[in-house]
Amino acid sequence: MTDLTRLDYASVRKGLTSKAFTVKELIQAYINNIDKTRHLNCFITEMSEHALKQASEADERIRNNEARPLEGLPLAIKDNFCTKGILTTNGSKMLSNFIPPYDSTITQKLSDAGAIGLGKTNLDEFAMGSSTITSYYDPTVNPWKKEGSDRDLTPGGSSGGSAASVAARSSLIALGTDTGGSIRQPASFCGIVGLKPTYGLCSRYGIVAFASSLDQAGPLTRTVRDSAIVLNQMAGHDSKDFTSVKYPLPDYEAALTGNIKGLKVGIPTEYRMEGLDSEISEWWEKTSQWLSDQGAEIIDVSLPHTKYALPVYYIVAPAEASSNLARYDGVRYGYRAPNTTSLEEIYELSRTQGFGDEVKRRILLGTYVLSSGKYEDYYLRAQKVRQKVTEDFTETFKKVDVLLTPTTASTAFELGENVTDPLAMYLQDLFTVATNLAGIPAISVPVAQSKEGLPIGMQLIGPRFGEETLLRTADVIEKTAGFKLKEEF
Amino acid sequence: MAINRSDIKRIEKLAKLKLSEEKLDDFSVRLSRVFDWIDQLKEVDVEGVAPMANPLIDLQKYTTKLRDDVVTDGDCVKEVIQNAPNAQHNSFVVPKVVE
Repeated sequence: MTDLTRLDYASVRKGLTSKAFTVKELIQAYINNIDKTRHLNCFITEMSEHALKQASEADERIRNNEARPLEGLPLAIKDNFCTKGILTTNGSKMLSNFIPPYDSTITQKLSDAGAIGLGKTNLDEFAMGSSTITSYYDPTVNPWKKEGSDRDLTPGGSSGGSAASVAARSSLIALGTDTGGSIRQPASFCGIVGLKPTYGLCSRYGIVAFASSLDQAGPLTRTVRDSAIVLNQMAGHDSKDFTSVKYPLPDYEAALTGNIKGLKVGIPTEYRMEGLDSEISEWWEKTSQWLSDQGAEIIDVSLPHTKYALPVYYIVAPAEASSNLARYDGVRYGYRAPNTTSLEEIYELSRTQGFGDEVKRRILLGTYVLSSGKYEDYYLRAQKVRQKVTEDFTETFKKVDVLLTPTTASTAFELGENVTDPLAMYLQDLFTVATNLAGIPAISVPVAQSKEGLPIGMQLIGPRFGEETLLRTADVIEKTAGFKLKEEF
Repeated sequence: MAINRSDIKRIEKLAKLKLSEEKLDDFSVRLSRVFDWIDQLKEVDVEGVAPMANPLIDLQKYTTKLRDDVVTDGDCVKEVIQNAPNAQHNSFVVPKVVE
């Protein structure tokens, strides 16, 4: 029998409908791969037993012709989605014993649609990072290596466990969250597709909050079509999330027509910046040529406030984080420091011992920019510049349908590299972060392997609720690029 | 902008957490560098620009709606309390706060 973990979900769906194989066989194949790839440290919690039980139920449904839209989908879940009765750590000692009494809307919706959770994936602590290095549960390792080298590379982050797992075929599709690039950057580093939807399209209810005006859930998949299939089930209004938008939902899969004739593709000149890897730059040119060859019009555009996006992000995100993470007080749930004698001591010692250094640094940075005397100079000014960054996009999307940029300035770096220089780490978010500030959607799609043998990803950015055009264009890029995951890792 | 040890001590107090003593100097250097870099925002002319609190502020009438005031969940004291570091009689236990 063919290796079932090689199939994308579109093919799995066909195979299950035609009864070529069972959900149980499929899930078992994935559980075998989880065993085989445990050294990559993709998962914090495995749910194999639970998954096999659900597989039997799914087979029963298929036998009765009652298959749901994602029946049997082997799904990995980033460990910042609350899952009822299942440990949800957020990669932190603070939540190392937290068992949510409820499900996030997204995990609930996917489960209702037939997806089967295989486990909870590793992430940077509280999703704060671009490498999965800050996790309390040790770093995740990228399944890719440079040719001729056995040194471990980062899968990127913060959805590093999710991305590595999809690439290493220990899950078929994974859930991630993206606050400044946390879906797209790891997707790019691992050679898979990562979609950050429009802010407000997918419910944030039950996702552990990092920066509430930036956080958005999205899928990590091996194909663009799979992203469309799963987005069909994730999108939609949720009264439990008050920033969730009532928007008429299209069929995202139907948007993949293969036709981009007349599409206007913008190339932002400000993204041709110093520090961009020359090979990535060449592939950026090539990708734009592919689109042009298939009837798209390529137009140079300007987003003049691009360089301010990152400093704005490094005020807004920590400010919101410092407020969101105030809830971790050691009283109602989460870690409580031992041997405390006063309430004040419970707060301070539990937070001091429960949070890792990166989380503490961001809370302190956020507290500082919100503190009396600094608020107007920093936080308020950043919110105003955020408006300017957003206006750049609004103006540009009057002229073009999508923007094409690289996802990252470099390919995956070695584990441990860069960590000593926080600014160099922060630059990982350079190309991705502006879209979070503006609340607009973006997708990363792999286009090639570098000369060293590492995946290179390109990013498409669209206007608010422009997911259909993004997916259609990404699908064309994917088919032209013919990028393949490695056979063995 | 330089951020010194005493600035950090002050924000540690506000945030109710502490960095270890030996990391203070390193953090003050890092934070000073980050703020030097952030200071480029002062170049931007923001006269008359409205602060943007979230990306949907213009769609607020479609998003921020009041729900009907009805009970939608609850009756799960056991599940809630099981996460408490210290609980008795269905209550969270902390050291005495009122003398």
